[in-house]
Amino acid sequence: MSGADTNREVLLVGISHKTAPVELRECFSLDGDRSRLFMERAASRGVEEIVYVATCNRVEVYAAAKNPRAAAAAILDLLEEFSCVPAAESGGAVYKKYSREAVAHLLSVASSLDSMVVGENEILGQLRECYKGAVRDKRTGPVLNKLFHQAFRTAKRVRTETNIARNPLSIAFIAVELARSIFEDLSKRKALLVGAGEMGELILRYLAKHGTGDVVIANRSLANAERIAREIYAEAHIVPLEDAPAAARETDIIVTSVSSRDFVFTADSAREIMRRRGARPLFLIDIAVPRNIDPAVAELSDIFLYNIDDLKSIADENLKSRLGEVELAARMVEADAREFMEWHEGLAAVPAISRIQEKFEEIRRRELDRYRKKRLKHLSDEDFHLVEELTNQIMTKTLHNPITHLKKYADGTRGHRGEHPLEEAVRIIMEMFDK
Amino acid sequence: MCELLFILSIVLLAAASAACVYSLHADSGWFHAHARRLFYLSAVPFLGAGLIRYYPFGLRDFINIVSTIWGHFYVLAFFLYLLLAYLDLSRWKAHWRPIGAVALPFITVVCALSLPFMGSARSIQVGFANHLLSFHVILAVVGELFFFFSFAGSLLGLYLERRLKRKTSLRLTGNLPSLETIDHFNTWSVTRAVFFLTAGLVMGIALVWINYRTLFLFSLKETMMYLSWVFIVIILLLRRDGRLGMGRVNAVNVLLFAAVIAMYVASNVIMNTGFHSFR
Repeated sequence: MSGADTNREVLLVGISHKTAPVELRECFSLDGDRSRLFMERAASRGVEEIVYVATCNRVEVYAAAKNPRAAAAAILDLLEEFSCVPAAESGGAVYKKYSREAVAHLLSVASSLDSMVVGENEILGQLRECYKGAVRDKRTGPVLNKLFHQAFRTAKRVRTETNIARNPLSIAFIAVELARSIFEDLSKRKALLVGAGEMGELILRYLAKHGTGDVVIANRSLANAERIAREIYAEAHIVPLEDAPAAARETDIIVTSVSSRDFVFTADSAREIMRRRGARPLFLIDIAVPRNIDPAVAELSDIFLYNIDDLKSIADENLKSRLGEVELAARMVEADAREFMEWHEGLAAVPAISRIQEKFEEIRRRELDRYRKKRLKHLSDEDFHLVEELTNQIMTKTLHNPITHLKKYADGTRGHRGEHPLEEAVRIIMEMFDK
Repeated sequence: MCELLFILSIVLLAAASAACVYSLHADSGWFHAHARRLFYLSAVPFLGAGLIRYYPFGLRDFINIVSTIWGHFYVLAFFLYLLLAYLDLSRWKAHWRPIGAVALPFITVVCALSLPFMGSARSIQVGFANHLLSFHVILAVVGELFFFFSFAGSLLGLYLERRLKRKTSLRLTGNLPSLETIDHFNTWSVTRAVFFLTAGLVMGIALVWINYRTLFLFSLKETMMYLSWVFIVIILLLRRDGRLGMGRVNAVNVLLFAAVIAMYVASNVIMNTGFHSFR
């Protein structure tokens, strides 16, 4: 790492769902080629490292530069130029953050604390993709590489050490989770979709994705049922809507979303289904409005009936539980941001450390060569190799303490400041060689 | 020393129970790991107490262990330890936490209940001494313990079913095994309960035949044991049949276990007259 690499400061310029409506955000969103061109132009204007991040909720440009204010201005100019949105229109929506604030922001974004749906999983993958693109185009350097890897680590930690991403928020995913609470192995279970409503289709899609063994689709329009089968589960059996009660006897999960004034399943028909299929549990998801399943069915033994409101209230409950984890996650982000900043501030000492190591190594090599030619020439190659190792060990151990101290002083928080610089310098040197 | 170690094991078991229940409630991996650690740690003073009391270990001592009232409790707790450790290593490993949340407090209660009997000289009075007696007791106890595990599973099943019916959040239900898994575990436990209890009873019948040339002495305790066996067989048949439904079978299982445990306590602790009683 050269000296020039070590004095770059992290900065961020961006807009998000919190500051701008979608109409404005989409103006700043650049596709692959244009984002590459954008980063190239930014580099030519003194932005040494850059990663362009665009998702449906945000457009953010992370950068590292020796002159962060000038770099932020250049990025803002370029964004304006590429988006064709005048500064007057976007001014209030664009935010700029520097140093620790920018670092903490990226860590929050990666951990999905800044997402529209807190705890969602997509953002991490999107960040990884954007970062990979920048790495491929050689737009990153030591600072942003370290920062993004730190962000990925923090995100993983937040996901594993808190319950922020634990409970699902999507109705379809909740339905799958409920099915898993009832059945041991979904691959041995059969699902029946009654009607071709959009939400019903989505739930079936999730069930199929999570390995449901067999699928039956009962619909008025067989053509529509065939379309769903083609898209979701090619081997699905298709039956007319009137045959739904008969098909229900063989299935374990029933999703109803048919437009009907009358109940498709009444308490009596459900009782008959249970009698025919034995006392195995039956999971019913009624997402139609008006409802397709008589609510009295829920009273029957071994039947678990959920309507759209039940699923929605579980989603609300899960959201509340996620928000309860935000504080803990924010503390993790803060701690990791502090750790990154300590590393970053320690970079100032890197050139000095490299110089010291090079100098010591040069002396060691020179002295070894001199001795090899004269006083140690009787040694075999094997013995001389041992001497080389020994001197290397001595050098490494001698330098370990001073280098550790130098890194500490470099972050500015542990360094000594005083009225007598010479005395201070002597004290620091003595401390460096003190155990 | 023996008493001290035994009390220490009860304290550690109580801590393990609290940690296990709390880990389930709070979905905390940290508490779960500590519950497990405390459980295994509590086994050290527990085994220490047993060794101090019964060392050196001969065949005669073995019969003594199972025939004294505290020894009987000790054997019960010992096999509970063993079975819970076995679950931790078996295919039920992933479900150790919810099972432990019921089983750990149960072991704690068994051990705590046995404390007043540590100095008691009461022992099983059968009117003969035969080394097969130990096997009869152990097989019967293991059978009852498997029945206890089906009771623990049934409680979990009823709890999960209630939560699913009430349509509350997924926070707790997500930490429990599925209803079907619990049902399979219960059937697995009851099948073993029937096997071991039957083996224990057959051995008991053989002992009675060898010593009294009869199969049944018409004592209250024998009747209670056969009744327990009938209850467990009924549960097994209901589970295998499947017509009654998971929820109802679980409820029957819980009720019949309560009846069996009441008979167990009555026949082993309260009743102190007649054949096979602790006197």
